[in-house]
Amino acid sequence: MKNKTLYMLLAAMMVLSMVLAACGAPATEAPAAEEPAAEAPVVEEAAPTEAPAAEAPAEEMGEAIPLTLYYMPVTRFYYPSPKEIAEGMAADLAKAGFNVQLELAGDWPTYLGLRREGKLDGLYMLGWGGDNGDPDNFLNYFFGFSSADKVGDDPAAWVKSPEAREGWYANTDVAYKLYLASINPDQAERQALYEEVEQMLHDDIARLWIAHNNTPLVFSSAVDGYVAQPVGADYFEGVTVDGSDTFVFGRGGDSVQLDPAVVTDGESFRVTGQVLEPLYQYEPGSTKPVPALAEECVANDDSTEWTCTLRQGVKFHDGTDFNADAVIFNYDRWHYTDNPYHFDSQVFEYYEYMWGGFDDASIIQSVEKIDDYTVKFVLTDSLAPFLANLAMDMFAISSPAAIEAAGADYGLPGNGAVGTGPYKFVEWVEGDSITLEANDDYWNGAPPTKNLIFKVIADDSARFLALKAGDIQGLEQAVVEDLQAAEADDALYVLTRPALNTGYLAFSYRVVEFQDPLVREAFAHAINKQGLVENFYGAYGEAATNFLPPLIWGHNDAIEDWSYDPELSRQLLAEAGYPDGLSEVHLDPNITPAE
Amino acid sequence: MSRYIIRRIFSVLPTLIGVTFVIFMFQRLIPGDPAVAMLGEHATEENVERIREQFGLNRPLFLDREALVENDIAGFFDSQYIRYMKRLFVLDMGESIHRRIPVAETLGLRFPATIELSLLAMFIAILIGIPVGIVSAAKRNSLIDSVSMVGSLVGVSMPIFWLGLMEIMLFAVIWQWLPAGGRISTGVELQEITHLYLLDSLITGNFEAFKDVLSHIIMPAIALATIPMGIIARMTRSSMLDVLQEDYVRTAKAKGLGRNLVLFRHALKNAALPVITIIGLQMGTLLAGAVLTETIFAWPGIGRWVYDGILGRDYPIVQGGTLVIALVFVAVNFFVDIMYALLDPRIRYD
Repeated sequence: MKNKTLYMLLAAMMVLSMVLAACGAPATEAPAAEEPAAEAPVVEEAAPTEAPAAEAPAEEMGEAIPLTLYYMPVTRFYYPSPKEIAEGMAADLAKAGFNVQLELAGDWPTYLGLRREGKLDGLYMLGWGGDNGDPDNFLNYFFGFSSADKVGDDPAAWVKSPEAREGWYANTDVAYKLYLASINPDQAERQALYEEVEQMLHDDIARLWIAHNNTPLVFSSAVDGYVAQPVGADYFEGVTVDGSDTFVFGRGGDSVQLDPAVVTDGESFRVTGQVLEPLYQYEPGSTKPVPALAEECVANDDSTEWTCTLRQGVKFHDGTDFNADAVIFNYDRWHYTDNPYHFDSQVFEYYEYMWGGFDDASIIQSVEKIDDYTVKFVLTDSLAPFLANLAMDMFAISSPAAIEAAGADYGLPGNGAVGTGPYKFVEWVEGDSITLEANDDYWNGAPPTKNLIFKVIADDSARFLALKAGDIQGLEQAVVEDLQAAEADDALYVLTRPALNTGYLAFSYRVVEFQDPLVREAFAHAINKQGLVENFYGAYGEAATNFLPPLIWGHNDAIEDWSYDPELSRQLLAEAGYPDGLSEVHLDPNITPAE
Repeated sequence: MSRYIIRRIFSVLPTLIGVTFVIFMFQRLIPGDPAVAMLGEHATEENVERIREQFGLNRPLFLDREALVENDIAGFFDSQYIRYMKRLFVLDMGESIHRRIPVAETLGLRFPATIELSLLAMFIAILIGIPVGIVSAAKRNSLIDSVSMVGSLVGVSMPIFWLGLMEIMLFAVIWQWLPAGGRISTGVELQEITHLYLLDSLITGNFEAFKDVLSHIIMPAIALATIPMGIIARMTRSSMLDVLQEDYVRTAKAKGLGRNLVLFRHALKNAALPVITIIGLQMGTLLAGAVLTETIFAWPGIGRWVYDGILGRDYPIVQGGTLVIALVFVAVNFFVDIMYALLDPRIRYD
């Protein structure tokens, strides 16, 4: 048979590759355990502002590479069409004398991986969406001290290391102010600190903040009462559909799991937010934490202890009582790695990220039961965004009985989740739909629409057509043409989610030329943000002057943005030593990414 | 014949092992890590490490050279690929990295959806493609011939996603005859036996469900059928034309046999071999085309699932999904070979 040759070929390939694999280096070796920061030489905090890059002889500047702009391979809420936006940026930059080469580094995981390792050598597009509406969550994550920086007991002596994740940018002054803000319980003082930090980042041109995007959602005109949240899951509990007891919401992807503690994706939280509730939640339409399962939480003087009074008479969907024991069961499960329900196969990513770690590393030292309806959170340090953290979707309280019964399968399609929320889990057909049913005993009143169905329609255009056909009554994410059609269609309307995101253009400080503030300023004057917003964000975007979106307190209204002025940009570039523009840059030989 | 079948079944094994190997290797050649893909922008070093260890992603791909140096023979063979093959040997395809659901379980739910869609599409393609090809050949260079050949060219060239969106636009949005996507309406009860909904609803005599399922499947099936339909029609036509010029056909005609008898009894059977080959190959193409169709019609099959698995670096899903697709390929080819023997008595395999 003719196939015989094929078999032999395959067999030969197999043997050959095995031999190669045995002789060569193992292909996927675990990355070096030590922090990359420990190996990389610490770039002095002031270095970016004083490096006389242009005058240094080429051989000392390291490898020459083309000036590259990496664009994102996927659409994210902060960059609605990344490739087109990148082309727009490149055109703007060309007018100012920057000859930028556009590059696609790979798909999304590849792109994120390269950025983590600090290997996007050039300008790169990225963005951030807030997790809890607190400025700390934006600024400290990018510009604050990492755990490796916190050497010694005196925070004033800590030095910010140039972590790869940040494009090798390190600013100790900024990091120290962010640290002070993170432990200060006084809201007004915190706000002043964040505004100051924004000004410092602006003056140093740490990044180019491009735009904030209000995400559009489209609904059938029969639908009313949907609340799109800037942070946290949207509120479906007030939705009414004319002439129907069912609301079908169309979305691009399925949920990963329904145990909110172990997931990180918005499509999971969109559903768990209806089934489960945290102690606090965000006020509808805003980022302000307001009581939910707790009636109130009160801090002691230095805000290291928070005492929460719990709502009484609330029952989980399985009929068991919500009380102090349930709260402690959940927090202990997340907190302690040796807890029997802290399953090995699960990653409590957000607990670690928001509360500083597990076990002894956690800022939450313990959650104590005062009585059946009072718990006390004892913290190791004061934590200013405590209530904002408490209100996050991942810290919603599950029924202990349900977790005990389902074990590590809690939250999987066969089990769903059991909480106290306005809707109860009914069925999950993987990759297709999740069905919820109104909780008639909901403490805040039964929701008016009986059935809530989340339907996966992966294709943007097909999803919009399904809305027009009446198969679904609401959706998120539509292409610009469809949004325009929706605005003009009487049977549909568009609602926007207030922006809690920022798309930016980052400099890799591994590029010697970018270490020169004059060059960065030339970039800042070269990009026409207003033009980009008008062309690619339509009515939904706004040009960014801060990293923090205007919706978040701490946004500095006083910052005057760099003007769009290609001529000035050329002048600055000439002043920096590049009268003929910039098309080739050099890598700093002192900064090497860990292999 | 039976000896041939047995030998053929055994010869399938190396193909499948080769498939596991190639898929395994190519997947890991793509940069990006499942742990990073899973944890996204917030991934910390500790958690990435934990996931890697948990799924054995910190082990070498094929063989551990370092363990050999230390004379650790068990460690030498304790690699990702060998672990995978060991599990596969006991029919364990592993768990999805992102969702922790056994791959076999999801496959059991989703594979029938893809098969049902592909089979119906192929049925439509054959039902229309072969008669069109025969008529075109019989009435060569007539108006019917020209129209149907241009039609089949359009069918072959039309992008599936465009056709799919046009179908939805027309039948779901404007006329509102059919649902825009999905496999069955929520609330329609159906007792699942084979997981092929059309079949299940017929077996259980549930005609309400049958109607609902049919209204869902018809648009994606037509969108998926256009390409093989065009190819089958063109292949049937050219194969028939070849055969019609053979001497024995002329002899048959000269003997005074009726036109239809010559066409269907003498010509068609001999013209069928290349057509069957093409149908077999197209079955594979259908599975590939299903990715687009499933995306547009929100059809819960394996095409979209494997595609998402690739993007998320969910290795077990990609491995399980492609292995099953490879199995289908092999099975179809096997079936085609058997058909050869049945259709052409001159073909002997022993």
